[in-house]
Amino acid sequence: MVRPESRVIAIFCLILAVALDPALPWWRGALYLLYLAGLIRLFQAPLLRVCKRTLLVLPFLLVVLVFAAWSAASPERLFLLVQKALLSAAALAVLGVGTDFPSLLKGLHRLGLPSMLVMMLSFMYRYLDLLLGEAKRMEIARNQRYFGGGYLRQLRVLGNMIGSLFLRTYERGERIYQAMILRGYSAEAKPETVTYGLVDKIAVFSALGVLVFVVGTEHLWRLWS
Amino acid sequence: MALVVVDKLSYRYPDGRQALSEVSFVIRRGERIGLLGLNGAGKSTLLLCLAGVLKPEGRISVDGDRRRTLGLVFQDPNDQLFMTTVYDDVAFGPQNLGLTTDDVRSRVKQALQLVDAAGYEERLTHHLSFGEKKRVALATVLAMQPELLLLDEPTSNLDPKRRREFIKIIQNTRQAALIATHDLDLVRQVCDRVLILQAGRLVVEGGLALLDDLDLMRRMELI
Repeated sequence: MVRPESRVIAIFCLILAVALDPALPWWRGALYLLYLAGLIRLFQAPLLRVCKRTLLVLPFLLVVLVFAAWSAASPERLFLLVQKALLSAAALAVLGVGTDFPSLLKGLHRLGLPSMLVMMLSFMYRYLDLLLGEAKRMEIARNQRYFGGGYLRQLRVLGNMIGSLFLRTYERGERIYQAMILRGYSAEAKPETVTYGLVDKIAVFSALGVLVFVVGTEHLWRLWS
Repeated sequence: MALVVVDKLSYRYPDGRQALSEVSFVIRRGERIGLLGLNGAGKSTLLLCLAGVLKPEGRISVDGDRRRTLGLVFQDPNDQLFMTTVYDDVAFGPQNLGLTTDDVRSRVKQALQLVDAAGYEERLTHHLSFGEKKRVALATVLAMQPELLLLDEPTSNLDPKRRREFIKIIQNTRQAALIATHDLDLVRQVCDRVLILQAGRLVVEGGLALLDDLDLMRRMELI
């Protein structure tokens, strides 16, 4: 298995290469796609889910295009924008689909993301379900005793619900912190050390290769000549 | 030999409510004690005071470092389990004890085995069922190998089957335990002694025979 930190580096390099590509000629588009296909294989990401995840970028792209219609951008530039956005989204989808969030966090921790931030992100992931569930249950409890009308008073009820949700979350936070202290938490957790295999090297160096190739041929070469 | 000596423990919540008044008792090594009392009698508060979360008046002396000796398991496993995967959660305590990665791994494995959750390491915490969460929550504390378990309502909200299994798990641990509960069966099967709190006071202390004193139990409103 490719380590999550190697995946992050590889995907980051690929996105950087796509972003720095000034014209995106067809053969380089093909190169990116081919490379992405290689990464999908290497990361063992299910293709169908990658495609679905990629399409999530469409609404945002649409908004950008609508606004771009009022600007002076040429159709070619807009097409370039669409291509780059789709490629980058696909790259992120490969990372997101093929790597589960907890191990991604560990990878980022090993890449040097501060422990505190890792902790906060992992709490968000751990408790989001719970918070949504609590809000949902509260809503059900209200709806069972609410039969319409009295909209102004409903606003007050809604305020109360949000307030008590906040208090519950706050108090849960306190209890969790107590549970952490009781198990010796001291805010300086170090990531576990791991070893890297051949697949990690392939992922990282091939991505670096793509990046260097694009920047070299398009930017440095132009500067030179 | 006394593991924990509690002497005239009193605690008043910041809002002025007196939760505990002059509670005194002794816990010996390996001894299991049932802590009974109605909701709001002060059971959870007593556990939090012992664990060192709340700062009460009076004296608590622990034979050894308090944080290593005492292990509190919260009633709601969602408070106890805060990491994303089961492994990370059970490993959290041992890692903070400064153990090596190999030691941490073996502690996690051992603790999960003790609670019938062997092989759960890679599971996501928020995808566990309630019963599984309860068991893993106990494992997070067992992995630290404390001398005394402080258990807050360990069998609450479990179905009869899970409850029986959980009682067995507690029976199989080797530690002393102070168990706050309403589950008289649990006390009968696991404990050696009973403490009964009423409105923050320790009113009765004695052997399991107390549970059969129906007059007393009715007076304490426990049956």
